[in-house]
Amino acid sequence: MTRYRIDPAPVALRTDSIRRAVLRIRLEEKSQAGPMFHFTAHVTDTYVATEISKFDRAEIPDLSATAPESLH
Amino acid sequence: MFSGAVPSPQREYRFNFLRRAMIAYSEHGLARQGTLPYLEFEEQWFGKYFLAIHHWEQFLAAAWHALETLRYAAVVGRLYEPGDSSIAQRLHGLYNQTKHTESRITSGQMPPQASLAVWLCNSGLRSNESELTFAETGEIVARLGDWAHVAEDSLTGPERGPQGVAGAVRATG
Repeated sequence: MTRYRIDPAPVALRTDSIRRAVLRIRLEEKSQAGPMFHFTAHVTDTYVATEISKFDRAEIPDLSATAPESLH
Repeated sequence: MFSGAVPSPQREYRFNFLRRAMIAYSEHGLARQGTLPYLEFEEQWFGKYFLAIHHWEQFLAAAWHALETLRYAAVVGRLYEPGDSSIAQRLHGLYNQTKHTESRITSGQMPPQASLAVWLCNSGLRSNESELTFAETGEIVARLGDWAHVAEDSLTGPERGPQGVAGAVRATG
């Protein structure tokens, strides 16, 4: 299956170079993965989701031990 | 589900509270299940991120509507005081920001260059106006569970319930 990759961006993309960076998509043959895009932190934070490049951990309470029947 | 006869409209209010509380519980779990694999995956697979965001949005909606239903049932009073920065107020803020994303885009109320009204950060859910930590989302679900016990008992009024969701959530906010 084909997936798409952007070359590792030359550090510190300026806004006016983002379009060129996005256009630098090259095809990469992979056997299992679906379409995937690799962007720089600047591009992802701007065009995908705010702070997504800094989102790397989450301590989310696991409530699966809570008796769900109390909510039924 | 209910112990004893519950007259209308309390029957409908309490039923809908229980239904929404159950969905909030379920969506919190789905959001967790969607978020952690995104973080564990080596590549930034944005599809996983947006699936996680979807479940967090569903959680915000279900949790807020569950609290609102308690208020309609007069099981609790005001959910928060304006400007009190309680968990309830911040939950309402985040829910509203996801609900009104398009109008916020139109009116220029989105963060600069941002495309999502609510996003994920290491501490929890964030918008340009509100934030809930992951610990607080868990607290909301726990309090909804407490109130579910109250809602199931037709004889239990607010005076016999646990500290109100508004109160408990306000106290920890």
